[in-house]
Amino acid sequence: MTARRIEAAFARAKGEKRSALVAYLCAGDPSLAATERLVPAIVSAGADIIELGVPFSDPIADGPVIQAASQRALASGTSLPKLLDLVARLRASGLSAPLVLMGYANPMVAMGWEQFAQRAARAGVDGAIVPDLPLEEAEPVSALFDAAGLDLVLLAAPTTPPERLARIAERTRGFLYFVSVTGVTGGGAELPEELPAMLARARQVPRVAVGFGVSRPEQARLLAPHADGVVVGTAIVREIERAGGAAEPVAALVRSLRQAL
Amino acid sequence: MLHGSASLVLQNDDGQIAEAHSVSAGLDYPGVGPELAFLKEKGRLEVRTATDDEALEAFSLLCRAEGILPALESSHALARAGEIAREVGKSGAVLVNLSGRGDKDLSHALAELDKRKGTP
Repeated sequence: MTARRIEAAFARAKGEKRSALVAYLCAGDPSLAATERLVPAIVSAGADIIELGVPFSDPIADGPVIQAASQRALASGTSLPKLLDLVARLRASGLSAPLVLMGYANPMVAMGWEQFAQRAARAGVDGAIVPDLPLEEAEPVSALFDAAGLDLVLLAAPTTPPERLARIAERTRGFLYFVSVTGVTGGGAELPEELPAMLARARQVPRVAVGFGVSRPEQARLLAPHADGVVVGTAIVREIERAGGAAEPVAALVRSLRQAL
Repeated sequence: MLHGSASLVLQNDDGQIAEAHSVSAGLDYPGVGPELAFLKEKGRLEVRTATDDEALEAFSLLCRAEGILPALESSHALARAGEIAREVGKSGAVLVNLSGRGDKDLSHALAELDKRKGTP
């Protein structure tokens, strides 16, 4: 049942002839109470899917902005169990948007993959992106997620060869996360010129979202025709930091991103 | 699971990686090689630890007694050699693997030893 929320959000965006906006924020930055206010505000501002970062001590796929957010979140006492409680509270208060966790493997390993899958699904999480869980290690985890009704969203990169892309496309659930750059999140540099061609190859799966280097509304507008969804993280996290956790400036940014799609 | 490998790592109950510290740069990492973790779990390896002070003491001892300059990493193994030798007794043999040489560590080791001078 949970997986359908993701599919429905993409379908609704498609029906409106636009790309879906996937908005990332790091749970617990600056506090879990702030996240609890920010998530509904970001959804009301037009985000189709919420990608909730699980803070980790060693976020190897993230650039300095999200690394710092992760540190702030850990300093504010955020942990995976508390984050799942937060999701349950958001669902209880009526949040209906799809919610995907983006988190590194070790906190999930510490909880136990099966335990994590079941607790996350029960809390109302729809899927999880685990950037340091490569395809080769993903199969058993994906099977546990399937059983719990949680989507394991796999990632592909510009350097992924076609035959591997086909295997990732087959194994991913919910959507395929296409990493736009060979680098960490929030690169800030220009997006590769070949990106539209790469995305065209990736769209052998029904839903492809592109992320990692998309920070400005112009970039989102440029990419939107080439993907079913556009993920924006660093720009939102930076705004949360600037606004000290206040919701309105963040909602304004999300509205401008959504209008660009 | 850290940096792409599943192994034994320094972490808290939530799976957050702890900050590592060692006087030796090569050991200043919150995990061990997966091969070592595997052998330990199989029960084929008994693992012991050594502190910065013990490693530096062993470093000095080998320099003075044998004129051999061990790497600070290897000095941690040397620090346990005496205790293991006592355990195996006179009829046993103890092999210490000097995995690297200490030339690279000399100025750092001397500074660290200097800092400890006068402290018991």
